[in-house]
Amino acid sequence: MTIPLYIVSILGVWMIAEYFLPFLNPLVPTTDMIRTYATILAAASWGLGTAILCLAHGRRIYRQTKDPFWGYSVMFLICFLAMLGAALTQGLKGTTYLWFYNYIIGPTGQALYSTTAFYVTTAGYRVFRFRNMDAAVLLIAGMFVMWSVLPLFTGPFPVLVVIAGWINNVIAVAAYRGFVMGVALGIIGLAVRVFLHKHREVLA
Amino acid sequence: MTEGAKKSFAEKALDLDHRILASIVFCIIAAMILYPVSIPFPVSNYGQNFYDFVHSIPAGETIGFMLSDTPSTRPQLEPSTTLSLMILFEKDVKIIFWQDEFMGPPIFTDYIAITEDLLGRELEYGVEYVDLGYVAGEETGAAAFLKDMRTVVAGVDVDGTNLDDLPIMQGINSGGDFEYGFFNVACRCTEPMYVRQWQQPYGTKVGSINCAMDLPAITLYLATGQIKATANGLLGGAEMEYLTGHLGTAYGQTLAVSFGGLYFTILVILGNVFFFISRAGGRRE
Amino acid sequence: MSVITQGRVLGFAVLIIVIGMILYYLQRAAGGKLSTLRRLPQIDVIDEIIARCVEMNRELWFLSGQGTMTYATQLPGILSTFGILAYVTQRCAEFGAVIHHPTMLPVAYNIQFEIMREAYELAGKPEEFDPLDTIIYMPAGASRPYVANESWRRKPAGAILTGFWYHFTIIHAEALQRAGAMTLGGTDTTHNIPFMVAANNYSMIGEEMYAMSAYLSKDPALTSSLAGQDVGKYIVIVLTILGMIAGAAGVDVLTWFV
Repeated sequence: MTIPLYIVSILGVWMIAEYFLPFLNPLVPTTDMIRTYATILAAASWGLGTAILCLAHGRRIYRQTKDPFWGYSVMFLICFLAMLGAALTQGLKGTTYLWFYNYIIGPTGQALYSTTAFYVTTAGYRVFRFRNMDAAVLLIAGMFVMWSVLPLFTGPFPVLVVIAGWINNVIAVAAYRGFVMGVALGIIGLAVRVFLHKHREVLA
Repeated sequence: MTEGAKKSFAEKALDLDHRILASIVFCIIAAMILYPVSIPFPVSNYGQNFYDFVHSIPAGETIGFMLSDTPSTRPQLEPSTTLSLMILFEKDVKIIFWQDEFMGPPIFTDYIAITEDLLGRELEYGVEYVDLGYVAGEETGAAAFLKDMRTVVAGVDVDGTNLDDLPIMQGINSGGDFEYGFFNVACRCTEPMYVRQWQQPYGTKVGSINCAMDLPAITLYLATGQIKATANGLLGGAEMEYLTGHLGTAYGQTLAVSFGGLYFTILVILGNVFFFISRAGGRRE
Repeated sequence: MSVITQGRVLGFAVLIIVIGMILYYLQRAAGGKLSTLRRLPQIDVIDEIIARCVEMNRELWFLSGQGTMTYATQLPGILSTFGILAYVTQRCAEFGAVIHHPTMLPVAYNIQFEIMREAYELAGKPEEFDPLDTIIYMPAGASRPYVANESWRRKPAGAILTGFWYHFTIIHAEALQRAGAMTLGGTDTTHNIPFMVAANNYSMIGEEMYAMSAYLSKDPALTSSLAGQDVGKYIVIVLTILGMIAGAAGVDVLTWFV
C-alpha cells in the first residue's frame, strides 16, 4: 500500500513542478512519457468497469432465487457477448457492430436523452412559482433565458435577447467564475491530501 | 385545507398527473414536426459569430477537430458539425480528427459520410483529413495527445497507417501546430478542459460545438475570448442550416421546440395562477 | 532563463500560498487544534430525510453521480460522496431506515461497498446489509431507466444526490420527486448546478459538498484542507477587488504579474 502512494506523491509533485519551473525542462520528455502512461491506464480502467459489471450480473444469475429480476442479468450478458463478439471478429467498423450501434444503442440513447424534455416540463410546472423572492428571481431569470433561445419569442420581441444576454454575460458569468475558482481550490486541497497520503481511497 | 376535505379546482390542477403534462408536450412537438409552420427566424449573436468564425479560417489551413459526439446528442449537434465540415472542406481546409469518448468513432464515420453527401464528392483520406482515433484519459489524455500526438497514438492513425506516410501530417505533431481548432464534446461538459490544455498553452483559436445545457458554463470563456465562438445546441444547428441555406432537421426541430417553449410558458403562468388561488383558499406548500 | 515560467507567476504564487496554508492547518490539527467548521443546514436536512423514511417505512435512495476516479477533475466530487455516504448509511442503520444505493461509479463501487458494510457494522446491524440490494452497480446509461422505473415502483421517501453529475441530473431528481421523495442534491459540476438547485427540495452547491463531507467524516485532513482553501478564497476576493479598482482606473493589471 505504501509504494503506490509514494509513486502518486512523487509523480504528482514532479508534474506540477515541471509546469511552473523552466529549469526542469530537461525532465520534460519523462513527464510526457508519464502522461502517455496515464492515457494507457485510463483506457484499461474501462475494462475494470466492464469486469465489475459482468461480475455483478453473474452474481445475480448465480443467486437467482434471491433476486426476482435475474432474467434481465441474463439478457445483459447475451447483449454484452454479442457486441463484444462483433467488435472482436469484425472490428469497430464491421457491419454487425455498426448495426448494433446504429439501430440499438443509438435510438435507445436518443430516446433516454429525449425524456429530459418531459422531465424539464413537469419540473418547471412544479418549481417555477412565486413562492418567495428567491423563487421569483429564479422564475423570471429562467423564463427570460428560455425565451431568448426560441425564435418564436425573439422574432417579435428582440429585446428578450438583450435582457437574457445581460443575465448570461454579467450575472451568470460572475457567479460561475466564483464557483469555478472554489472548485479549483478544492482540487488543490485534494491534491495536497493525496500527496501527503491522507486520502487513501484514491487507490480504491 | 384539512386532510380529507375535497380539493378545489386549483389544488387539483396543481397536483395534476405528470403524464397529462408530458402527453400534451409530446403532442405539440409531434404536431410541429409533422406539420411545421413558418415563423420568423432571427439569428442569434452566438450563431452568427460561429458562422463567421468558421468562414474566417483561411483557405488551405490545417486545423485540429476533436469530434466526439454521442448518440444522445447527435440530433442536436449533427447539423452544426457536418455543415461546419462542409464549409471547411469547401475552402480546402485540412482537418486532423480525433475522439476523446468511446462512443465517438462510429459517429465520426457517419459524419464524414454525411459531409461527403453535402459536398457532392468523396474526401481524400490522408490528404484532406485523417482520423487519429480514440484517445483515452480525458484531461490527461488530451494533454499528452496535444503535447506529442505521434507518441500517444504510436505513430499510426486509426487504421494503422504510419502518420509519416500521410501528406496531411507533415509538420503536425502537437496542439501548437494548429492555429485554429474545434471541439465537439457532446454533453460531457469538458469544454473547459480544452481551454486549459489546448487554447491556453498553445494559443490556438478554438470554437466549440456543444449542447445548449453547457452554454452558461462556457459563457465565461466566450466573455474572455478563450473560446472564440460556439454553435449552441439545436438552435446553433438550425442557425447554421439557415445561414448556409441547407434547411433541414434542426430547423424543423427548433420550430417544434419553440412551440414547446410556448406551452411551457403557459404552463408556468397557469401554475402560478392556481398557486395563488389555492393559497388564497388556505393551502400552504 | 526565468525562475518561473513566464505567464504562470501569479498562479504559482497562489498555489504556494494555498498549499502552505493547508500544510499549516494540517500541522495545527496534528497538534490537537482542529479548525472549526460551521454546521451546515443541510446536515439537519439529512436527518429530516432519514426521519421521514423511518416514519413512512420507505426507502432512502443515495445517488453518487457519474464519473471515473481516474479523472482528476471528477475526483473531488466523487471523493466527497464517501464521507456523506458513510454518515447517511450509519444513521439509516441506527434508525432502521432502508438505504438503497444504485452507484454508477465503476472504480468506486468497491470502496462504497466497504463503506456501507462498515457503516452497518458500526451501527451494530451487519445482518441488515444486503450485498445484492443495498448497493448495486450499473452503467450510467442504464441508471436513467432504472431510477425512473424503480423509484416509481419502490416509492422512496427520501433521496440524496451528490457527486459529479452529467446532464441526466434533471431526470433522476424529477423522477424521485414524482415518486414522492424529499430530495437533497448537490454537485460541483458547473453545468448541472442549476438543475440540482431547481429540481431538489434542498441543495448543496459545489464546495458545500466538500464541507459536508469534511464535517460529517470529522477527518482532520479534510477539515484542514478546507481551512487552507478558504485562505485561497480570501486571496481571490482581495485580488478581484484590487483588479476591479485598477481596471476601472485604466491600469493594465496583468502586466504586473506576467
